Amino acid sequence: MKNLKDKIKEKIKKEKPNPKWQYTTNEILKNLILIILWISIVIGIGAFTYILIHYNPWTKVPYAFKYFWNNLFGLPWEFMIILGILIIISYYLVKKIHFIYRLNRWLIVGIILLSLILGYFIAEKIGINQKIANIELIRKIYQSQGKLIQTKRTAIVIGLITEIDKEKLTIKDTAGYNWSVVIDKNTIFPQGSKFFLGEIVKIQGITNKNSINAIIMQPLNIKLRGYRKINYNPNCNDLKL
Amino acid sequence: MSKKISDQELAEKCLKNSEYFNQLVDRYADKIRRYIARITGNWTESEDITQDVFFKAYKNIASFNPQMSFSAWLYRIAHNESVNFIKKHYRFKNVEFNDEIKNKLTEDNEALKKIFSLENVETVQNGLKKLNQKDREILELVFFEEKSYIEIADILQMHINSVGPTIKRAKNKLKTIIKQ
Repeated sequence: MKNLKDKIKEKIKKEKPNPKWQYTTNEILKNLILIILWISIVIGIGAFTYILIHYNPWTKVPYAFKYFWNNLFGLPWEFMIILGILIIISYYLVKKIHFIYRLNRWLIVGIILLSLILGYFIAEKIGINQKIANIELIRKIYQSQGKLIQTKRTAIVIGLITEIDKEKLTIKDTAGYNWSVVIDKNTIFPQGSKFFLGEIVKIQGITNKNSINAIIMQPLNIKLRGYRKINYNPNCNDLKL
Repeated sequence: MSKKISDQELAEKCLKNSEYFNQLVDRYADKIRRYIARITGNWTESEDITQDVFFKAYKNIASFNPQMSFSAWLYRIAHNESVNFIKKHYRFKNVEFNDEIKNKLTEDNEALKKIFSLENVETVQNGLKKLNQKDREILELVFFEEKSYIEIADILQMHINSVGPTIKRAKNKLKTIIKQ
């Protein structure tokens, strides 16, 4: 009766090891996918971080959570799904990287933080954050056919600033209605934003007849059909609260 | 007197000549079988699993990274195969050691005696049985296989700094079980 060692030896006798190039190619492909995934995730998360930081919810802490929540669900679901899939794939791929378990955990934390910062700047540089934020808005405008977009508790109005001074702000929405915008100390603006006559803005707030109490107000870098930016800038005051 | 060739050198030469792999089989077959038997609790099946381990190792020898010790690489394959076997056969129940495996592994009882300074080795064996798979495995690698921390880290794919605390925790758990 054959012992174990002989059985193993006999089993491998007719076999040949897989060639080295197979593993090298496999490794190169795996690393390439990882790099692409890493860049996508870095940009994706960076853009997400940018949106959060750019609108500086921390300056208005009581509203921060609400603002975060609104923005989170304001992001296109396609973006969230793609990001989710990428994160899952990366998790399994990273697990396959040789010797990752040997790395110091603080080094890994450092790499993640560095990736976030890098992603933040890449996202800002290529303007992906604004694109992401606008996808959902464009869809909403399209779906509502230019009318008022009603969400659960608030409404979103997208329109052109037709009147602006320290006391009054009027916008004309895409359906042609004029809205008097009420701004108070609780209204949230993107950090460092300035509003000008002829600018297209998005206002989320509570409507009352033809006025809207603005909760969030932000400029949009999109072109709406039928609008042209008014190339006119008389003594218009920057709206800064 | 001829100089003993290292595992790493043999592994590299295997790509050209399978005879070198036979030397590795001679060096590790018994150890690997005992290791698998301890993990799976099945002496009979451990033979087939060991064959599969060496077959896989031979086929994938080109993927062996010399930065890692060959022994750790081989034990890693054995670990994966054993875990797969357990998942397949013991999905909803704990691994039980039958009398057959107890008898086959009695030679290791001396090691346990030395480590725990206990007269009743049977108690320790029973204690090990009650540990979860991860704790049992790490204690087996330390006590029976006498692996270094770096090798354990490679086999179980964990950070080297976690090896010490995990062993300590597993030992404490074992001591608690034994005292009960």
